[in-house]
Amino acid sequence: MRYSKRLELFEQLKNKYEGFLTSTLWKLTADAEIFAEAYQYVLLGIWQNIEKLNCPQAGGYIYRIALSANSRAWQNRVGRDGETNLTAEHAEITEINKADEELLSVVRNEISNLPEQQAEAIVMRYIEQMEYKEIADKLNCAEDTARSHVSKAISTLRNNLEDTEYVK
Amino acid sequence: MNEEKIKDILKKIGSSDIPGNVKLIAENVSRNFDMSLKAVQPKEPVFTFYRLLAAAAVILIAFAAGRWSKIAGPTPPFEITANPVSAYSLSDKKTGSFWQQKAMAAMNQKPQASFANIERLSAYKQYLKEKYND
Repeated sequence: MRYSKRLELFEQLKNKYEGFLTSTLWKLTADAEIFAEAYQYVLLGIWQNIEKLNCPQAGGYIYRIALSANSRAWQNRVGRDGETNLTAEHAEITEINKADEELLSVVRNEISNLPEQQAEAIVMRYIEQMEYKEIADKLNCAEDTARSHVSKAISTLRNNLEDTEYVK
Repeated sequence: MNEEKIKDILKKIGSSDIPGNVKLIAENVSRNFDMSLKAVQPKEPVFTFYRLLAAAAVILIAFAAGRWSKIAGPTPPFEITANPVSAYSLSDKKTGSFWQQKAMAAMNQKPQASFANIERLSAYKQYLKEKYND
């Protein structure tokens, strides 16, 4: 594909999914630095996979790219700081207490560690607030399978959070 | 922590508002990414495959057109009935080439005419001697 054509397609996709990416990535990161990093990874992912995204199923690919970018950004952050605390900026924005703030941060980090399909299912169900039928359509599977992915994701999250100090 | 609690947390995450400055961050990241893409934009090569193909096609067409124009020239207004005459006579080929003829000529004895003339000259000198001595 010619470079100018790639650029044109990239602009189209970016404009189309800008709202979804901003909303979902912010909800999953809730931190300006991690968000910016994840957003960069998403743009890079779209650019690198532009030929695959030139199809009607582009939405599904974008979802995977976004969740993969979120995971990488979280891994980088945890790797640098060794902790997952939110910035003061976010605390002011969301106006929630410190304990909840930390708990949400831990849960977000755990979502970034989930297997791909479970992460997609749980983000669609609880972050995007989709119905199971829509989730099944997006994941190209049966509705029961989508429910199973969500259920497994919650179970995995619960298991992973058991080791943290937030289990009460 | 039970599953209901986790679901509540997830719902809370899902219902959180998006602050205005997040869109600005996204726009900045996007702008920087676009600039870096344009900075690394490769120059398109002059001789692309299709351009070379087009050039080859033009050369072939020009060559073919040249040949056809010679073959299908304008027909003469008269009918050619005479046999074509070659610029080089076939008889030359029978007698040999120019150099063969030269070689043959070199091998031939010189004509006796020149000796005859010398003999005549001597005779004439003798005649003059006899005439004026007498």
